[in-house]
Amino acid sequence: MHMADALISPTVGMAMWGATAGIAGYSLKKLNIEADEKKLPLMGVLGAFVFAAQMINFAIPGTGSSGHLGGGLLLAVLLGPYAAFLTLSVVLFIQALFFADGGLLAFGCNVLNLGFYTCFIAYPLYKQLIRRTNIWFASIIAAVVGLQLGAFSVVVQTLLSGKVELPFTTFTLFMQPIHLAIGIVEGIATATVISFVTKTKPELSPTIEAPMNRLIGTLGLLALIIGGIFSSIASSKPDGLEWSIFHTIGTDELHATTAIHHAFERLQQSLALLPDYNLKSGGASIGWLDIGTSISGIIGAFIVAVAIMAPYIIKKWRREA
Amino acid sequence: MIYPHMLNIVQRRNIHPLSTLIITFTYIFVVASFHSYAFIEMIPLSLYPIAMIIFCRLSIRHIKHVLIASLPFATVIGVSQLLFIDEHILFFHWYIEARWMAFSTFVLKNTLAILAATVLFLTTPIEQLAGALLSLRIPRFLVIQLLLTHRYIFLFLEEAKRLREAYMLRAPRHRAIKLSVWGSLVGHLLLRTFDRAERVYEAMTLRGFSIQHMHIKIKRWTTEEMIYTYVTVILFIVYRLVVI
Repeated sequence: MHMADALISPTVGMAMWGATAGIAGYSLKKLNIEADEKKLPLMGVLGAFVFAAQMINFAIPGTGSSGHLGGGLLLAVLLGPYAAFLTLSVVLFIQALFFADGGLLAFGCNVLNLGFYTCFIAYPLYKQLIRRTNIWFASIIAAVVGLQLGAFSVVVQTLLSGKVELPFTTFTLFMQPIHLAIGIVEGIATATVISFVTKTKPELSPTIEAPMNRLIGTLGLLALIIGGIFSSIASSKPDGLEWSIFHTIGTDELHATTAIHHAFERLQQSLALLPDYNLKSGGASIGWLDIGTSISGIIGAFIVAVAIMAPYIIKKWRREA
Repeated sequence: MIYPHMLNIVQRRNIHPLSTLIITFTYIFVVASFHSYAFIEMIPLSLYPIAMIIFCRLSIRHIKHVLIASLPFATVIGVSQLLFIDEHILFFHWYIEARWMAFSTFVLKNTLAILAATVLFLTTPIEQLAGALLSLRIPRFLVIQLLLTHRYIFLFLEEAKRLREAYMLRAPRHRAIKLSVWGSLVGHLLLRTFDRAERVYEAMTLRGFSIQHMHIKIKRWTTEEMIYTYVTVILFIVYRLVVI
């Protein structure tokens, strides 16, 4: 799932670098390595372990093919989400630089697709499931969720970059089922190693660490689902005001008449990132799901979240300063 | 007047890591920014990696291995271009099938990006790269992580190879390791990893290690190297702005 530089545009690449830098900064702060210096060599050596473990293939029963450990979920379970995210970032950087596996410009995309979803979404899910079920079920479900989100993210980043002519539907239908199978294999491999360690050296059994405020996480996920899927249905119908105007004057939007109105309308259209809740270049659709509107919904939810959080973050920074 | 100096820097194979890092990123940025049919426009850009390979006498064998490893990915995505594009474009005076142009452009773009990253890797030792990252204000902790992981990756790869060979010698008919055995093999490797991490930590503590005081050498950026970097970066950017 490592993306190459040829797949992405510089804009998407740099945006993902920015996002990765933000999450890495946050993880560094939460990790507080000065207080737990022992983790430093452990992270380095475990990063190398994941690399080596990927070399050892195992036979997938009944298929005649083989698979290997991805390692993201295992790292999150062993080290906690923040340390695992940083370790994975370093491993991916080494892979890009020394083994040409994933591009340097696409590094941010790869860290998000393989690290963020695994450490900050799949791992909290694992943590919840392990309390109610067993290691096997929790690992498989968490690995599948992490990889499905990562694979979808690859599709969205490729689509937004517009560098290849892969149709959204075909690419998604190709990526998601393959990564479902890979996710199941990854879950089984992770559970095998964790249960071995738990049985052999119970003192090394991983401690569960809370990665983020549960409420914020749940609300964020809900906002993404609503923004991504339901906006597609909702935006095709007029809202209450548009409906009223339509029944009053026969059109759903009031149009400008004066020169000032026209000037501001042109300015607004040129500045709007998502005019009429859609991407400027338009987009593909699968059945009732309009991709442009869905992506706009997700971006919109993100912008709103940032706008709401900004005063709190600024206030916190000032207090700390 | 500047050219002989720049040639001297490159030929000494002693390019400042920060220069190589900045040039590589700009180069990849410029390559990635070209549109899907910009095959001809991108050909002059291949001069940079080719010149570096020749002047720095880089290992062709290593470059060949890296390019071959990237071939399956380039082929899969490139072939998808062939399947999904159905139009003709004007190429000089002829109308040609756009799909072949898109395929060639994708393969060239992928090759150039990989070559640039490989040139960075082959001309810059990891310790110097760490120094360059530090001078770019990358947190010291992450740079130490990079050095530690890089240090142990090759040791662990050797160990993994030995484990796999040992299994294959005992079970010659198996194409891959049985899952039940695999769990125990990788589990043991993980336990040894924990032990090794403990030993590394103790060794570091005994030698008075601390994150803030770990010495990573940052090379001085000379005027010649600075000019070389700026000239190369400006050349790439100007080329991109001229060839749209």
